[in-house]
Amino acid sequence: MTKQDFRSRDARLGFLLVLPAVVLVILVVILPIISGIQISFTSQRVVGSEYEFIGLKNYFELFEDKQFIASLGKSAIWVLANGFFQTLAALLIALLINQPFRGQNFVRTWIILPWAVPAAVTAILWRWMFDASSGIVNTTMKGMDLVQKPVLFLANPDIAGMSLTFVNSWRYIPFLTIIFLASLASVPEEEYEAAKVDGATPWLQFKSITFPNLLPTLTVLGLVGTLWASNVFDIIWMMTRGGPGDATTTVPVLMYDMAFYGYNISKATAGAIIFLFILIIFAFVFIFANRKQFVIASDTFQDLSK
Amino acid sequence: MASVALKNLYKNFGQTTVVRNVNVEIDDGEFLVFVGPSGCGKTTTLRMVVGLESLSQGEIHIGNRLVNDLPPGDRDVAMVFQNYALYSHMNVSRNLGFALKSRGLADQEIAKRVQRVAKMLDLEELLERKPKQLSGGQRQRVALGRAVVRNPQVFLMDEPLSNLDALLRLQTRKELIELTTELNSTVIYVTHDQVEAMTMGHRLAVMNKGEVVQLDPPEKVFNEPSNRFVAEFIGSPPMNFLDVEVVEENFQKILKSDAFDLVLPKYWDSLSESEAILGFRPHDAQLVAEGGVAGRVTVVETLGAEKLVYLKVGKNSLSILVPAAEKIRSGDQLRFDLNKDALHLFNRADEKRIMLFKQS
Amino acid sequence: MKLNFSIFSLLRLFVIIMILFILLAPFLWILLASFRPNMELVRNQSLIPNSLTIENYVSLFSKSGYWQWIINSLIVAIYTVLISIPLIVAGAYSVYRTYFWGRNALSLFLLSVYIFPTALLVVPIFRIFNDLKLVDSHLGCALMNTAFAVPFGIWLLQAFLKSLPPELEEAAAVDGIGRMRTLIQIIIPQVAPGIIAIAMFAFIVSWTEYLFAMTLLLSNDLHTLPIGLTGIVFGQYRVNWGFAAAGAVGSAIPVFLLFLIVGRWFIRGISAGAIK
Ligand SMILES: Nc1ncnc2c1ncn2[C@@H]1O[C@H](COP(=O)(O)OP(=O)(O)O)[C@@H](O)[C@H]1O
Ligand SMILES: [Mg+2]
Repeated sequence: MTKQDFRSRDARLGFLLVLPAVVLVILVVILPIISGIQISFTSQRVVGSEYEFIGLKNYFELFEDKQFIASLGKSAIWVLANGFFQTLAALLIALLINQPFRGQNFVRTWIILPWAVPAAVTAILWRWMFDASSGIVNTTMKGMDLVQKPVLFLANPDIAGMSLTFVNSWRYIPFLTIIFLASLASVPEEEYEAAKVDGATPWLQFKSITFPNLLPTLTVLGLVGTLWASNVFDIIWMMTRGGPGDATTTVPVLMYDMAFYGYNISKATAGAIIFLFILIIFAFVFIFANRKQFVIASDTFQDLSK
Repeated sequence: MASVALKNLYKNFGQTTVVRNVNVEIDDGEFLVFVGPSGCGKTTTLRMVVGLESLSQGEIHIGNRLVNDLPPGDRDVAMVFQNYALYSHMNVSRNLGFALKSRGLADQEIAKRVQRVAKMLDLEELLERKPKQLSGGQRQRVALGRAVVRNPQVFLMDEPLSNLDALLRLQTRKELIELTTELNSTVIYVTHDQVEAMTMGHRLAVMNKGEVVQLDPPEKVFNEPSNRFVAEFIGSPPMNFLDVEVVEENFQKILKSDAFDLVLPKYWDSLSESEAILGFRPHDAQLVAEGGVAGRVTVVETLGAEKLVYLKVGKNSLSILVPAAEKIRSGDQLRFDLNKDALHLFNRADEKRIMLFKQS
Repeated sequence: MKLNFSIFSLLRLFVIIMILFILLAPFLWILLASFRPNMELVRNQSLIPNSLTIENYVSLFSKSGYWQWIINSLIVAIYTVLISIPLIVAGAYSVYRTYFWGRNALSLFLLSVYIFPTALLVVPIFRIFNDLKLVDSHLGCALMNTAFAVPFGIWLLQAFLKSLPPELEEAAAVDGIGRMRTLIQIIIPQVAPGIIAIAMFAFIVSWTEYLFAMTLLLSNDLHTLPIGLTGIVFGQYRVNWGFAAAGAVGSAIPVFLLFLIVGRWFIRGISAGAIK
């Protein structure tokens, strides 16, 4: 018998409906990557200049480039500090403000503001807050006799990375928190009630109800958040330009600098491809390890009715 | 209205067969009820008729059309869902008229039909309300109205009353019977509630594990259940069962259990089995002062006009209904007689009813 | 026991206030700074201003391209929202409520957008958009933003879409209502709060976008707010803090207004549960 039910007739419609999104992603992501691979095999230095095919030379050079290797390390630390820390902090904050309290609606609406303003505003805000002579953070600390000399939040190579991580987290944690809150609100109330009747402790409730219900969200944010963090460029560029020295030069910053200020587009693009390759491997491993959470819907009817 | 024929229906989900060899012919104007425990395949069967589920095998005819390959919308059937599936952003009037509108009927005609149905179902006051502003019973009527307004060949209903509270359920049941009788509708109705099935259906299709095990009018299902499953499922409180041996003494068939013997009426003489399962309903027993079957009371439940008494008879646990006036407490010793014309015998091996022609 | 409990909730309140303070106080601080003369900002280290001025705003509003940038940013954001919404709604409906082989993989493929090292591949993007005549156009910029708003937007809609009973579509199908019509007249009205939320998401993605705007919008009169702002603030050797503060406030206000009007819909629209 032919499969003639209501659902199998969907196939074409379903496919047509995602098609525009897929085409856009191909146009904006896949094509540039292919084009980027082409550029990385050439000797082009600025857009529009003459170039020849040089094979893997850019790649070999990069592997011997200490600055590039160092930037890979900085990116790794950056991703760990941002991707991981932010997700965890956002989860904790979401749990904290999920319980009703006076002003909860206000908090839920306005907590998101740091995410909603342009990075340029964030950069102004925190450069001003962190300013050595007249920044509020330093003046307050000095006023309270916490420090003798002003802390050079962005100019001290030992601190700049942490300061940037703080600012970037300040920017993204609100958004992640809101998403966790939304997903907490989707946990069926009855599950908690049943658990309370059974006398489950708050910790047990979290472990057996909240956490499993949050897991799909946590996994998607784990993936997407890590990818977002690894490609952060604007905030670093506007606050330190990768400095002082190379202290905050992650791969995106180094490559951008190399392409447009070091006039070596092809080599920078090769670096980008290497970085992309690493991220792809990460994504595959991550998705494979969490494949159960990524199945959005199996083909059974129960799945949808749940 | 039209007749419906389900021929040799099968449905597999992957490796498991959830509907197996269903053959049912539903007459024009008949109210047929699929009844069975949850998970037995009633909904799946209904969804195949309506076209939401494909067939693994078999044929479905509505009127004289083979509809196997028709999409749901072309089958000219209407369905009432358990959760009503009302469109929550539309008011009652638009809910009722939406299907007609999308079929391109003229606004005037739609308004006329919606009015008629609203009157029929007592929804006139509610036409401007959104589903959220309705009570459960009112929503149920809107869902019904949405089906009625289309004037379909067949109505399909999947547990439409199960979301209502007990009292409302009784009342709506009555209204539903009146409505479908008035419209002379062909109805295929699904429920797990045997009382609902008995009161509403012209015929019942009792399902178990994907198969229709009996297809008969309610009285017949009750009086002559085709197997032990049906006997147990239909009727409340449920039938008692115990294993018995059949022996012949003095040209009489006698049932022997571990605690008592029972001489069978003459018409059982041609019984050939040597062992069987005896079934009797709790209300087919009467208390007697002496003779009969002896048992020790374990639990007494007061049901109102009657008491349900649980007994230990030999190794078996049985239950009987007695008038509420009887003073019985657990621990008491009791004697009762069985109504010998209301005994059911089932085959030990396949649990099918042992049928004999009664010589009356 | 009772005492313990109230200590705990006091502690919780304190933490919440701290978090709120860290997240929102910088905005108040910059608002205050924007009304102080620049010289005072540099010299005076006291928290309480000696004098207030609107000079920073005067120069922002009349001596910079502020209004032009705002309009440009709005144009790009509106394009982005208008293109994103149909793509997100159609995509989410497809992925979460229709059945076809490979839709799981497809949804992952869409999320793969975020692998893309944006800062590094602006060159090839520039090339491709140049061929498509989309360089130096707000539409081109909006297309980039859309590509980055759509995948996560689709994911954001899932909770809402999944919370609708499948019987909605089935009832419509039995009533002979076409699938497209069902989507447009039944499903979409039901997910309206979700659509408001993804519209806000797309708006913010576009409003805060920096890199593509910088790469693709060459002419000065097409610049968006983030580009303009960085130009005047970080273009100079010494930052004029008063002016920068006014610029920051000027860029935050539209977002502030947006959240004032529809903010409470955001979280409601991306959750399937009841949020009052
Ligand atoms: N899409 C499906 N995939 C797999 N199994 C299903 C599906 N739909 C129903 N079933 C199974 O088929 C059996 C019959 O289901 P159903 O027809 O809903 O039963 P009923 O309505 O009688 O309670 C159940 O065991 C159910 O789990
Ligand atoms: Mg069912």
